[in-house]
Amino acid sequence: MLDGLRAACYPSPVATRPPYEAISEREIATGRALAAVAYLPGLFLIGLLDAPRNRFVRFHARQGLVLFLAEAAGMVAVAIVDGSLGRIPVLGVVTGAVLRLALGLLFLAAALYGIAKALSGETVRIPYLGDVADRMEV
Amino acid sequence: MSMIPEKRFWLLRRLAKAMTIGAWLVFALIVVVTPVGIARSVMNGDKLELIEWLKYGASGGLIFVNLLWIAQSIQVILAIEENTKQSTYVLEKLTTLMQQVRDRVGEVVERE
Repeated sequence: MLDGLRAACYPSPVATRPPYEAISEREIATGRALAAVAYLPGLFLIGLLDAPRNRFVRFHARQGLVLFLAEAAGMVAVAIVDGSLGRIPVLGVVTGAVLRLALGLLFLAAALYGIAKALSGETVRIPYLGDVADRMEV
Repeated sequence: MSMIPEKRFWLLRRLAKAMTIGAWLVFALIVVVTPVGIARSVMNGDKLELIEWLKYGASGGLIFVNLLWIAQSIQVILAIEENTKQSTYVLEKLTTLMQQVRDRVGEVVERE
């Protein structure tokens, strides 16, 4: 009955990814370094191009890509703040510096967390970024 | 281990080396050029030019730190990977050795 309901709700087949629990030990062992490197700015490409079939590398490369995009968006946001609020003599400069420091520390922490998890062979989602990465078709 | 991962690591090692060299080149450029620019702007008494040179030095420093951080991170990740591989190998050997010792002890106990 549930299958029938599901078929009614989704008339076209829904693409599903294999669960991350199904990632084999071999995939983890061969892709650990590439998965960790994916969290460094721009280096997610190495993982995606070198091991496109390794699900462990792809999982971390996808998160690395989202982290990289978030970093780029953060830099644009800081530039906008610098261009607008930054013109206020003291408050603007302080706001820009605090924002830059906070974003820098946040992204550094996310990258270090991802690297540590990749090196220990775990597939752990980074809060918020991991959910976005799951929805990406890379 | 197949040949492909080793080749990948070779690529990463080269990348780390290139980034380290690039970082030190940027650093050398900043160290040579910025003080000259700052001195010239101070001698001319041009405050705007001085600020521009300071910005140039700061952005160069940031590029230097970023390149060096990425290069060092790659090297650390590769070192950890190598360490893990070796420790897994040693652990396997120790497990085998322990099993052999247990078997021998069992044999001796049976004989006695």
